[in-house]
Amino acid sequence: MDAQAGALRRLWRRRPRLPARIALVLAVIGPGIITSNVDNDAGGITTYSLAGAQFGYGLLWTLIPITVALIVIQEMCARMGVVTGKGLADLIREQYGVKPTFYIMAALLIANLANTVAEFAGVAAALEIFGISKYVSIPAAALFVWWLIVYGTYRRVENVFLVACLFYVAYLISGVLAQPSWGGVLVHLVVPEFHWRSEYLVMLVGLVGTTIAPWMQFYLQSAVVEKGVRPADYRYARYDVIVGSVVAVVVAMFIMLACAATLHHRGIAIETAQDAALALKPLAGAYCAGLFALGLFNASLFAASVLPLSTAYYVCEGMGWETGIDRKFREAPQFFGLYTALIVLGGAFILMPHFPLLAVMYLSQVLNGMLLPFVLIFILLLVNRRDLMADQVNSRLFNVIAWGTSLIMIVLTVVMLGSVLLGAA
Amino acid sequence: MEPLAQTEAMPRPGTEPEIGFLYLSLLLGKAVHDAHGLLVGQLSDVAVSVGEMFPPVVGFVVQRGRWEPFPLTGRWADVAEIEGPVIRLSVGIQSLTPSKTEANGEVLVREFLLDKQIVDMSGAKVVRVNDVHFLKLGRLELRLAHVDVGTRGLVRRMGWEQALDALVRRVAPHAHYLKDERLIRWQYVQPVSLEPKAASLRLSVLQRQLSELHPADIAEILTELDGHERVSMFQSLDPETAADALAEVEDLRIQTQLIETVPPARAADILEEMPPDEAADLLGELPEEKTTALLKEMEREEAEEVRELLTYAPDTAGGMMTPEFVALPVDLSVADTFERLRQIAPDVEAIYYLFVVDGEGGLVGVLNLRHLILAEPSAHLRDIMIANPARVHHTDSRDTVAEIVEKYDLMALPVVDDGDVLVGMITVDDVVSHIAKQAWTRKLGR
Repeated sequence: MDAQAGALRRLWRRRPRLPARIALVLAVIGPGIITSNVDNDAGGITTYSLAGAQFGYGLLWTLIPITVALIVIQEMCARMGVVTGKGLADLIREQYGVKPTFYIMAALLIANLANTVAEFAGVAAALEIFGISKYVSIPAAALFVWWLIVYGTYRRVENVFLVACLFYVAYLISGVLAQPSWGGVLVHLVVPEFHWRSEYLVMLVGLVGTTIAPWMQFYLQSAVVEKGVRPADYRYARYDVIVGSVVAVVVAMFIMLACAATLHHRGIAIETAQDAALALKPLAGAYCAGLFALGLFNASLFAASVLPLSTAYYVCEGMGWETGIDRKFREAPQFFGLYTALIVLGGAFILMPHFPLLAVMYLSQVLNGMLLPFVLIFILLLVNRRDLMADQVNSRLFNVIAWGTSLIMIVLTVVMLGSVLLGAA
Repeated sequence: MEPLAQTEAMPRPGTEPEIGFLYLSLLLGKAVHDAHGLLVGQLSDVAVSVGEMFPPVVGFVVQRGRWEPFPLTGRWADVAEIEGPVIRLSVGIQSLTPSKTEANGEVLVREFLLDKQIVDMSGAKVVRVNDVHFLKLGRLELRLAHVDVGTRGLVRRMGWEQALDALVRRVAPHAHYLKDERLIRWQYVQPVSLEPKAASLRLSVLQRQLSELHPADIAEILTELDGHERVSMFQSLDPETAADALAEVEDLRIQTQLIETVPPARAADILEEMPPDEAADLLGELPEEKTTALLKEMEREEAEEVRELLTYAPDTAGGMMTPEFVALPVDLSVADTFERLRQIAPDVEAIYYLFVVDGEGGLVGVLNLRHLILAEPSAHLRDIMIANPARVHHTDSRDTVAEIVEKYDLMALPVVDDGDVLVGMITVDDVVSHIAKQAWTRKLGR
C-alpha cells in the first residue's frame, strides 16, 4: 500500500512456516470475505432494518436470488482479477478507452460520496445514542480516518473490524430469541410476493444495491490482484467469494428477521437509530441501544476509512493519475484531492442542522442499486472477451444470471423512478 | 470515435505545413476513402515499425461499420492524402487485407499503447498513455515522437480540449494548464504490455535501458504495476538486475509472487545473485517443496550458504546474518591483507569491517578499513586490531542484536556459534528496520 506499510510488513515477515496447503489457502482466502463484511456497513444495517420493520417477512424471498446474483457477480470479478492481473477500472480504461472510464468513474464517485456520507451518518447516529453530539463525533471521526491513512495502519484496523463483525451474532441471537414463526419465515423465504407500491420498489432497489454495491466489484477485484492469486489456486478464491457472499446474506437475513419479529410485529416504524436498536431487545433488553450503537459505530467507521481511500484509488488508476499515500500532495494532487474531498464532504453534509441521517443511509443504497447495472454491463463485456479471459470466459449459466440481474435492475429502476415521480406529482 | 469538430485542430490543406505535429486522437476516426472515392470505413489504428529512434507509421487499420467484425489493414504508403476529416487512398478497397495482424517488428499504436501503462524511463515511474504524438516530417510521413501522459491529453481524448481551452483562456489566460503538456520522448518509454506477440524481439533495445535504472527504481516500478505486467517485466530482466531489484522490493508478498512465477532454473539463477540472507528470507516464505526444489537448482556453493541460513530460527541472530564476511588470520601482515582483499572483495557484500580469527576460526578481533589504511604495511593484524570485539551468539534474539548494534554504534556485528567460531555477520541495514519498529511501537504505545 505504501512504503511505510511495506517496511512494516517486512518486519513481521518472519512467520513460522506452516504446512504448504494451509499457507496456500490462507494466502488466497480473504478478499471475498472481507468485501462482504465491509458491505454490511451503515447503509446495509439501515436498509436491512428498514426492510424488516416496514415489510416484515415480506422481502425475505429476495435474499435467495440476491445471494445467487451476488456470488455470480463477485465470482466474475475475482476471476477477472486472477486471469488478467488487473483491477476493474484499469481493464475498463484499457479495453474501452477514456470516455466510458470517465463517465463510469464519475458515477462511481457520486455514488461513493453518497456512501461515505452514509458512513458518517452511521457514526453520528451511533454516537448520538450515547448522547455525543454530531458536531463532536463527525470532526473527530473524519480526523481519525485521516490519521489512519497517514500512518498506514489500516490493515490492522481491518483485523479489529473483522473480529468486531461478531457483533452480527447479536442479531442472530436476537432474531431467535424474538421467537418468530419459523414456518412463516420459511414460506416467505421461498414464495415471492410483489407489490407495485413505490415504497416497495424503492426498498427492492435499495436491498439489491446495498447487498451488491458497485464499489464491491472494484474493491474485490483489486484485492484479488493485490493478493497475487495464481490461476492454479483460483478455486480457493472461489470458495472465499462463495463463503463471504453467503455469510453476508445470512447476516442480512437475521437483521431483517430480528427487525420483522420485534418492530414490524408491534407496528413500530423506524425513524431514528434508537428505533432501529429496539430489534436487539430480546437479546440485550435495556442495553439493546448500546449494543446496536457499538456495532453501527464500528461498521461505519471502518467503511468510512475504506470507501474514500479505495474510491480515490480506482478513480486515479482508471484516469492514469498518480496514486499512493506515501506520495506528497504535489506529486499526487488528484489522489489526495479526491480522498480529502470525499472525507470532508462526507462529514460536512452530516453537520448540516436537521440532517436526515437515516434517510441518507437508506437512499445512498438505492443509488447503489441504480448504478449497479451499468457497472455490471462493463463487467459482462469484459469477462466474455476471449482475448482477455481465454478459456475462463463466462459460462452460459453465469451470463444468463448476470445479464438477467442487469436487466431486472434496469427495469426496476425505471419503474421505481416512474412510480416515485408519478406518486410525487 | 472523436467528433468531427475535433478535426478543426488540423491545419487546413494548402496552408498545411510540411513539418509539424499530429496527435493520434485527432487521426483516429477519420473517414477512409479508396482510390475510387468509395467509403471504406473509419481509421481505427495505425501501425509503427519500432526499432528506429522515431518509429515511422507504416500501416493503418480501418474499421468498417459498427457491426462488421473484421477490420481492413493497409500500408501507409498507399495513403494519398489526409484532408480535413478524410483520408484518401491511392489504391482500391480490394488491395486491403481483412485482418489486423501486423508484420514483424510492427506495433499497433492504439491497441498496444493508447490507454496502457508504460514506464517513463526518465522519471522512473509508471504512467498511463493518454495520447500519442506524431512528428510530421513530410506531407504524409509520420513518426512516433512522444506519448502524452498529461491532463491535456485526457481532456483532448474526451473531446473537450477546445471548449476547455477557450474557457481557461478567458478565465485565466496565464493558467499553468495551457502550457502543461506532459510529453515523454519515445526513447524514454518502456512499454510494459506489448505481450504476447514477440515482445522480446522488438524491445531488445529498450530492455537494456531498463537495467540501467537503479535497482530501487526498478523495484518501485515493479510494485506500481499490475500483477501480470509486473511478472512480465520481471521476467524480461537479466538475472543480475532481477536479483538486485528483487532484493529492493519491500513487499514480501510481491517478492514471493515474482520468484514463484519465473521458471525454476531462472529463479535459481536469480537467487544465486542475491545476498544469501535476502535469498534465505525469501525462500523461508515459500512452501517447503518449492524451497527444496529451488535449492536443488542453485549452484552448490550458494545453495549451501542459503541452506545453512535456513536452519537458523528466523527471529535469531543466525536468521538475520549473512555468511558472506571477511575473516582474516591473526598473523597476516597488512600488505598481505590488501592483497587478499583484492581477491575476495568482489564476492563479499561489505568489506568495511574485517574480522580476525585464530587457527580454529574463533573470533579474536575486528578492524575496519581505516585501521588498515593507516597502518604500516609490515604490521600484523594482531597489532592493529581491536581485540575481543562485541559479538552475539547465533541464538540471540533480534532485540539483543538491535541493542548491541545501537549501544556500540556498529556497522556490522559478528555472529558466533557455541565454540565462539565466527559463522556470520549482521550489517546495520538489517537491524535498522527493527530499531525503527521498536521506536515506532514505543511511540504509539502498542
